[in-house]
Amino acid sequence: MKHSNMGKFIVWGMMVFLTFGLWLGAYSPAMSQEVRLVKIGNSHGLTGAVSVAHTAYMEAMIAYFKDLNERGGIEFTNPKTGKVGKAKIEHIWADDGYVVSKIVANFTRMKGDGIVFFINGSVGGSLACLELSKRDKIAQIHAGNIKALMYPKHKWMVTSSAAYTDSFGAGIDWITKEWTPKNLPAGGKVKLGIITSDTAFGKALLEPSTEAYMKERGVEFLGMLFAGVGDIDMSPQVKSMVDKGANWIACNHTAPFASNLAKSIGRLGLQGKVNLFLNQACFDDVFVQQAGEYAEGTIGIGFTGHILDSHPYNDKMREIIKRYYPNTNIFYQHGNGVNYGRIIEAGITAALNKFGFPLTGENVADAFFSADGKGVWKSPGGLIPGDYDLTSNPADNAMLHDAALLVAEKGKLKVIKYVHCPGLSFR
Amino acid sequence: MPPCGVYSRNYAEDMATVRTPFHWGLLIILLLLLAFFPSFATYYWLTLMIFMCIFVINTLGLHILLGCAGQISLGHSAFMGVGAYTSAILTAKVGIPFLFALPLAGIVTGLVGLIFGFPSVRVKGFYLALVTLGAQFILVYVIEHLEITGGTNGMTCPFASIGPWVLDTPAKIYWLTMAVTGVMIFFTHNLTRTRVGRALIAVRDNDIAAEVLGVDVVYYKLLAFFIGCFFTGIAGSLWAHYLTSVHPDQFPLYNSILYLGAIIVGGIGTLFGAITGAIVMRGFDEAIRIATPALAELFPTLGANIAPAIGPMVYGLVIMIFLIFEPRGLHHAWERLKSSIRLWPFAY
Amino acid sequence: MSTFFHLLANGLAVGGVYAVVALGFTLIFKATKVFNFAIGEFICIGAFIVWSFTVPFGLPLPVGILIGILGGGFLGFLCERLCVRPMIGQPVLSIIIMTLALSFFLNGAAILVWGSMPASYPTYLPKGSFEVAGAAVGKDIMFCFVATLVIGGAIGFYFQRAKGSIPMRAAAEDQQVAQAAGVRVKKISTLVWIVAGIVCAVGGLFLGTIRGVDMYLPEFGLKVVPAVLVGGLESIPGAIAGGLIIGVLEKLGSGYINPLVGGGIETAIAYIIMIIFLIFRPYGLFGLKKIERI
Repeated sequence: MKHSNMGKFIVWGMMVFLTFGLWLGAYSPAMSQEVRLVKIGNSHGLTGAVSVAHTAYMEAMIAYFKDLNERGGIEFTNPKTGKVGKAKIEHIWADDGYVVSKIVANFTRMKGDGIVFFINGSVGGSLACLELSKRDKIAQIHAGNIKALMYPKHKWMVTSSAAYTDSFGAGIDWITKEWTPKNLPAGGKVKLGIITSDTAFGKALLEPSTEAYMKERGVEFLGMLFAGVGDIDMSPQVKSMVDKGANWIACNHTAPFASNLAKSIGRLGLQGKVNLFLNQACFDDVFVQQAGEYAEGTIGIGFTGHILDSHPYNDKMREIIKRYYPNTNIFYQHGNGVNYGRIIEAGITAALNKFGFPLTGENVADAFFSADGKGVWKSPGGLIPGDYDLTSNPADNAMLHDAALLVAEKGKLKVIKYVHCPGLSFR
Repeated sequence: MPPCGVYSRNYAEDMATVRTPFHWGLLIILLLLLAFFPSFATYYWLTLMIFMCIFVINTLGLHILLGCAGQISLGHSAFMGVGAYTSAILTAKVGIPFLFALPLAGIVTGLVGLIFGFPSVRVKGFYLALVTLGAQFILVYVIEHLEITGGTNGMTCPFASIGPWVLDTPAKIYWLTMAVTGVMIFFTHNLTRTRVGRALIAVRDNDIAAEVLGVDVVYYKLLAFFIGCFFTGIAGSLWAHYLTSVHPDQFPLYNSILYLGAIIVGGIGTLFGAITGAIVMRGFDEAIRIATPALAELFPTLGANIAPAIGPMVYGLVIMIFLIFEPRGLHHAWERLKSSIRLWPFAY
Repeated sequence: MSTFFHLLANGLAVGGVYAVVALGFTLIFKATKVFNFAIGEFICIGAFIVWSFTVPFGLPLPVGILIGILGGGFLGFLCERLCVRPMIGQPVLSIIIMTLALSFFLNGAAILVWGSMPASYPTYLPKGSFEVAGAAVGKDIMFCFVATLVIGGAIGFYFQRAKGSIPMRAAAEDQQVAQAAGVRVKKISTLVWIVAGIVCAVGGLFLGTIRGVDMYLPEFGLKVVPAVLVGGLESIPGAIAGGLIIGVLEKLGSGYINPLVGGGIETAIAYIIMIIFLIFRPYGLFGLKKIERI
């Protein structure tokens, strides 16, 4: 039976027409604006020991990049063609359960997917991925601000805030310059002890340079004592410090640990007699909530990106996160995720403007760290006064200069002032 | 059971690993595929294969310790850490070439395993599991507090180098790892066919009866620990030289449970089970992680919590279902399948 | 000397909280020979159930605690029925892996329902601390310590002395013989898991009160393993004694040894003591002696 020739002609004609039409459409003037995709990878411990903080980072980042894409993406001028183009961010994310082998597996898988930048959230994982970064030429950003990860500076690692030692230095500055004249008799000395956990994280507070800095400032350092991460009562350590005459105790770990410390101080009836200073990692709403009334009066440095402050940019960020995650309870750590988002947006914009499309990991790393200072960018929302300087300029001291000094009052965190973090970690 | 028409006419044929020309053909094709894998594989698959091989070597060590000798070990992750650190320290700080550091790492780990294996002489069953659980925590603690290991900051080590070749690309590391894995599988398979292997199996099945029959149970239990941890040390060394950095966080308890799960899922007591279990567990892990973002898109309003939470849930659920319905593991299921195919259309 | 008393007093108090968890382990092992690695999750879920009904739903605390206890019991029942019952007769390793897999599953389920946000109860225990021989012990920890002794004493008394527990003791000795004598072993197994679930929910309540409720609670399940072994796996007084001993060792170690080695000795010391006991006295302080020489 012969199929009608007319039928064949119609079918073939339609297919040719469609192909031609699509091809024309793809190159039509309306679509001549290049809408490209820049892939970035993200691995955080959404289950596991630090899931509360990492989930917040992740929610903030997913919301940030979705909003960025909906607004049209990053606008850049292609240096090769001079045309203005748009680039959207493809945000590939995964859970790693805070287990290093999974972080490494995520990194290799995402590199296979073609990412040009990697976001990471664990100290151990970052140390492992550091070598992989250098080898596979994909820069990373992470929040483990210990000295081993931050210095010597090189273009494959970016952090979003000051090193733990540096923020502690800012705390020491404030304690000696502003707290002492009001609270100690003339000639009184600040006696400070550290109670922290026996991990890289906890011990990052104390570097030789910090000890020297404390001596410089006239602070008598009473030593470092350890408590287990799961300890439910730290009163022996507190008592030991108090017996030596401590009037300040400093800590650097996560909020539950810090809240146990605050409770131990409270149980001994020493609240108000011994002051508590909490470093970046532990001073957030979780701490205030868990320590309850024992948190009153605690001073600390907060992670930058404090979106609980009232500021038009913060309102916008809260709205963006709530749009995608209406049931989430926005707290401090969301601010850090927003910070990552802003730094990455700025860095990729700089890379696109400098190298155009397609981007490689090396391009992005170069844009973040250009020795000629092009890596400096101004905080877009004026969130915290000052610039974020991500250069590898040896004259520059700290990854991030400024941080918020906070106090816990009546169950909330209030900003006392914005302080400058001295660059102690590079000394 | 062997296919129809294949008979053993002498002892050598009975004990042979590869019986028929078809098997030989399959084996050669597999070896060729593995050898030329880097030429057509992407970066992701190469690194995945490297991880799989390291996992398989680890599981083989656990197979000898648990599958053959019946000694439970919950501390294999920490033993791997010992091997990794030994190899890293030897190559980075002492300057021994990699070819010597690899077996030395294995030997040192074997000796450490021996120390924690001593209680196996007195205690059995799951009490021994708890001793090895203690080993997991104590070893990680010791690593974190020694100067030479860099403490809680970890340390870096150079790439593996054999003579003039530095193994710094995934392809070269893949060849090294695959070669070592092949040697290990060969060694393990032959171990079970020798006197030592039979003694280990006797100890597993009933150690009192074995003692009565004249098998020196103490010696063989300790030997099992040594060999089992030797394998893990080798795996650790390969891991260290792939990542070029070691850190105590890389060896948590979670990984120990993973290795144990691999043995159980694959089938205790068989080499095929150990290898299959390793591949399945690792692959399953990857699959869950790849599926997580897609799941999150289905349920966006519940936060970035729900999709990751489903990961461990599905993982645990699959292992539980496996244990309830298929307690003898994948190997047994495979044997059943093969038998039913070979016997078809007969029932037995 | 006052440092020593301080460490000792705090160690005993903290050990009391560990003892509750150890009790959960021991009960299950005593009756069904299953070492339940998912105890940490029972604690966590129990604590979160109490929180859910107390804070977001606003019920009074005693009602919340009651619901938490019922929830813990129900969880124990479910786990026994679905996970342990099918594994009767399997080798011990399979059961260990089963409970480990169960702990993964419950962990995921807990995060699914409650998220990873930490939470805390409204304060219901007195604040401040007692002075005991020159050492200050927090009042809330003391309360939990006393409550643990009461609970442990009650359960121990029931298991050792009461007539109603004779079938349970028989089933713990030898399941086959007990069945032959007419004891309904399955029913006892279920009952024990329910009681263990309740005890763990109470333990979760205590831990949550003292340190806050978050996803770190499951780690306490593992922390207690040395306590159970040192005390003796099949003995209820042993569980309590083991918990107290490990609590004291932890505090003494962290007070005296930590400054010498640079921290973190608490877990290591507990496990080293456990291994020493396993080599020289595997049945612990109060456990049943089994003679099997190799």
